[in-house]
Amino acid sequence: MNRELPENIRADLRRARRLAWWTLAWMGSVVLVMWLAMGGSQAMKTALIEDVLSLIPAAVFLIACHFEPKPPTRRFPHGLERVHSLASLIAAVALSAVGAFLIYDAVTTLVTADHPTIASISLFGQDLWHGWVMIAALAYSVVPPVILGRLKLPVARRLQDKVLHTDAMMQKADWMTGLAGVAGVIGVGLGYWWADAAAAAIISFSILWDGINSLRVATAELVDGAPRALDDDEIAEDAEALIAELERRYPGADVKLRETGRYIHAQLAGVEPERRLDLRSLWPGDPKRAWRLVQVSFVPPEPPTATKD
Amino acid sequence: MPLRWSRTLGAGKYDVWRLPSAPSGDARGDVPWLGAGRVAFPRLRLGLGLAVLALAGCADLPKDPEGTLERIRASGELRVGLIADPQPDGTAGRYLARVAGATGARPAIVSGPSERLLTELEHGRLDLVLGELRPDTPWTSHVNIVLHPDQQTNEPVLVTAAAARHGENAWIMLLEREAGRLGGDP
Repeated sequence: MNRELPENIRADLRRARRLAWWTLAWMGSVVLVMWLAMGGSQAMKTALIEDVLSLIPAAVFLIACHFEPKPPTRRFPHGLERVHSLASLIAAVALSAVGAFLIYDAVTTLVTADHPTIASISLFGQDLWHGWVMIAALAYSVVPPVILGRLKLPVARRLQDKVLHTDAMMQKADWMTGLAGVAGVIGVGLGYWWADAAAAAIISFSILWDGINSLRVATAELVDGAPRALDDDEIAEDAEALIAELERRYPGADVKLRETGRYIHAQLAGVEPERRLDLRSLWPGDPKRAWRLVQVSFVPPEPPTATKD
Repeated sequence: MPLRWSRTLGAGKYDVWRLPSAPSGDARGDVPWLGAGRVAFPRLRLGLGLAVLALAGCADLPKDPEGTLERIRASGELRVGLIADPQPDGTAGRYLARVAGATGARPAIVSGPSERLLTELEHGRLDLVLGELRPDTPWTSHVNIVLHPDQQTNEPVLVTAAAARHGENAWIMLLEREAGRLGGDP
């Protein structure tokens, strides 16, 4: 739906889309480098699969941004804002899958005591330990996600964008797996066969934790829960403030908030509807975020004679 | 002068990468747009230098988790399984001589069916199994198969191959190196 967004928010949206395109390009190059450096090595396969999965949040973000501003039609009378809710679920599933996959892979390697073979590779006519090539590729794979993730987080907060936030968490997962991979390959080189799997296991819990958090936030929105914070399952601060403000202005009203993508809808039950209402005047917090509240609907009180038995 | 790699075509089929000849002392580190005496990216250079030092410090990577190569060198004994059927050809013998030469160890050979030898290898009771194996043998998930570079094929045919225990990376690298050099042998 074509919401009247302030110019700075529209600029942030453009910036977010640029960052998502950059993510696809950079992380695509990381996938290519990792694939070239892999050379049939089982140890690198996990890192490669993880990098391919990490493209999903950025891709669904761009798809959602394409559909979100579409005007309502007869078939979609509420517009397509909720595409963003769906996208945030897909991104959260991808992030959780990365964490779960890493744990599974690390635990099976440790339990079956699978000794990873990292032998030689022929490069420019020289026989080189394959581990050096892997370390170089993994070191490269750390650089883009550190930069992109740091650029995305503040934009995601300003836009209250769950998909972009999950995407930033995915970049955190990317650079963490890259560093763990370097430590793991060096460990294997020093003769500790369990080093790679152990390093992956340690970081996989933190990634799965981020994934499950994103999953809880995304599902809360899809089942019409109150607006959640971006990074944990608690009700967002601005939503709490709005509930308090509405309860103060409409004593006795049953205040319910829900969220469609980045927007808040409020329902006030048990009070008389207003004839005219300036939504911005209801917003209690930072006026720069007043665009979040897009609808207030009233459910009038039932007539007292309506009770029957 | 800025660090630059020059690429010259090697005599054979490989490209050779060489550093340009050492720069004269006072020109080192100078970059035209910075002026004489200024070093470009000093912290980056320091970081790279430290990284190179760190890598040089562990240049003898990889090591074997179960110490196969060290043990062979220390004990002077190389425990070899020779797959009896089909009869190994001359390649296996020449290869074994090369590996023995490279480790300075004397081969102690047992001969038998492939299944038994590969099981012994997997459990670390042999160091090396030689004989005819399929490059795509299901044993690849249990042992590491080393092929002669010219024999790398996905065809389901038997080729002379060496097998080593998974993860013994220094040992496997030595086996791969000797397999690569085998081609030059008469």
